[in-house]
Amino acid sequence: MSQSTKDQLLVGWFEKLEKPLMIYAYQIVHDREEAEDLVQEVFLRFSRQENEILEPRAWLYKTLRNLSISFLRKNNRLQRTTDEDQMDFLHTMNQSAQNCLVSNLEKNEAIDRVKHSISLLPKDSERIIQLKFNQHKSYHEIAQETGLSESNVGYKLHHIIKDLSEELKEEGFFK
Amino acid sequence: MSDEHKIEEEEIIAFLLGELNEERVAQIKKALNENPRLRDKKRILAGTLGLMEASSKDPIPALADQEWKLSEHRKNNIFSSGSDKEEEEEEEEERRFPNLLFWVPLGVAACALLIVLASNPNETENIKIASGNEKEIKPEKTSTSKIAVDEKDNLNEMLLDRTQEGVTRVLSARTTSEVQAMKEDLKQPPSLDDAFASNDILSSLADPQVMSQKNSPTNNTLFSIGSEDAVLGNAKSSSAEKEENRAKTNKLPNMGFADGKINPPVPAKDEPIIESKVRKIAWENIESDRSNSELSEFSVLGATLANSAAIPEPTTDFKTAEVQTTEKKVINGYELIDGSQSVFIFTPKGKTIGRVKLVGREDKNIELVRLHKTRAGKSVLPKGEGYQLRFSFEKNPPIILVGNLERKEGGREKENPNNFNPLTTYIFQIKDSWILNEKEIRKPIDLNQTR
Repeated sequence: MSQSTKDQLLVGWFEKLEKPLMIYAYQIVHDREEAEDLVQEVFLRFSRQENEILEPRAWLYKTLRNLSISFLRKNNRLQRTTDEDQMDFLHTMNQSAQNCLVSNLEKNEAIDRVKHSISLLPKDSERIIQLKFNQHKSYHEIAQETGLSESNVGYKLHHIIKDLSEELKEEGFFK
Repeated sequence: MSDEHKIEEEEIIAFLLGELNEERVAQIKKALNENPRLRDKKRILAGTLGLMEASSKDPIPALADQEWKLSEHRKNNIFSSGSDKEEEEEEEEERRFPNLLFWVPLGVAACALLIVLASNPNETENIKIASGNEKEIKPEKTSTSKIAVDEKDNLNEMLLDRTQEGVTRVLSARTTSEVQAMKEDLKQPPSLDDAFASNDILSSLADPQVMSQKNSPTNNTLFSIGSEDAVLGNAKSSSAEKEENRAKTNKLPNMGFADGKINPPVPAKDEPIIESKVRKIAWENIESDRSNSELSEFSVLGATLANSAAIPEPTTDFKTAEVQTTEKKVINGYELIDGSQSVFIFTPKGKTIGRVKLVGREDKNIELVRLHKTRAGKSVLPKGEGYQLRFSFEKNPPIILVGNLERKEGGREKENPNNFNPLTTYIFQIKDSWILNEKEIRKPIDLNQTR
């Protein structure tokens, strides 16, 4: 790949993901300055990559996550969940979902990643997710609460879930 | 047609969420039993739903409303990393092939000196004196050797003149932006790279075109201002001459905010120091121009800079309220680029040079300034074709403009060399325009067409 193509890609992906990546890093390390450092490092690594990156979005997210976790480990700030917490969660998840995730560590990372994606959604979409997954309401009930049509609720949920599952798959959460 | 085509993801999601009727549920269960690819899809979607359920129990506060942007110096680090690599390669090449433009003239000068010394063996003593032992001159000033001493003084003066000439030539070869950058460099501790960085300047002396343009007396006055104490201090030994230099420096126009009439723009918290200083000087120049009624000379494209909203307040800048309101209206490509969020410039080879700011536009001519910190000696972009501007927008895909770039000659700079413009302004003439799709593939676009 030529230098000019790489530069174009760098600028393009920087403009698209500067804000989401900053938020993601901040949500992991809880320090604005460190988050900026980590995002800068990720884009520097992106620009130095000799080989073409097939899934730039997934690569940037994965690299940022790994760097952030390394930073937390280095500074002894990584909070480990207890076995009880993990078992509790595993109980709520269905069997196929458990089989998807390679380890509990990855599971926690995946939850944080999903939380991040939900936090970037518009307010109305976030509300639909809360009504569906926290209050376990049906499409019909959600439609009544939000004033949307049932088909519209289904359409919005379908798109959110589909996009999220693709992102998670590209980032290697599902083997 | 297989079951996989009949059953779509939406239905699998609805199935997993319990939103399908019994008949459809039976069909999907059957299809899942028969088709491993559908089962795999279901597995991933079920995993996603499980994670969403776990996430919704303890959601994190939304942060998207806040300002999340990297500071300017971090952006500079990212976008200059590619160009640094190229500069390293250039330096490596220079190391392999020594700079002949520097060494050949030096060799010729050394030979000439040897010939002079060989032809006048009696003058060797004077050369020694000229090399710095001035104290030894004084006791030799006796009546018996008066003629010899006069000759020594003449030679000494001649050598000093030569040294002065050389220094003036080096200084005159510098551009205004180099002088600005040197001022900044003087405030920072020197590094080994800085110590060996003079090759660029010396090699530029060998370019006769550059010399003919820059060796004018006015330029000499201008360029000897910034660092004459630092450079001429060694050459001029007498205190009288030093006093003269100081007097010259004191005659310089006041670049500070001593009058207190103007409120200079306050730099952002994370803004690089050099950029804020440059903007400060730009602000000052604009204000001083207002008072001198010379504003029209500063802007080639009419009254765009006369409003002076562009340089002092880059955060509110080009994206005026007027442009923001037009986002809802039907607008053409030109209006769209006028309201772009960020603009980057690329060389004809596609190398990122950094961020630019649009100062004005008249039809296909865009007036712009570079915002990124630049290295001394490599700050001014050469005139040429094929430069690219990349415009980014919040809701629209990026637009690429290809065209000719030319440095704008400020009339003010010519007339009053001391009042130079610290931000080099360029004129970009649009030749081609493209739009990028999601995969960064270019498609031609007509800027006159409404969007």
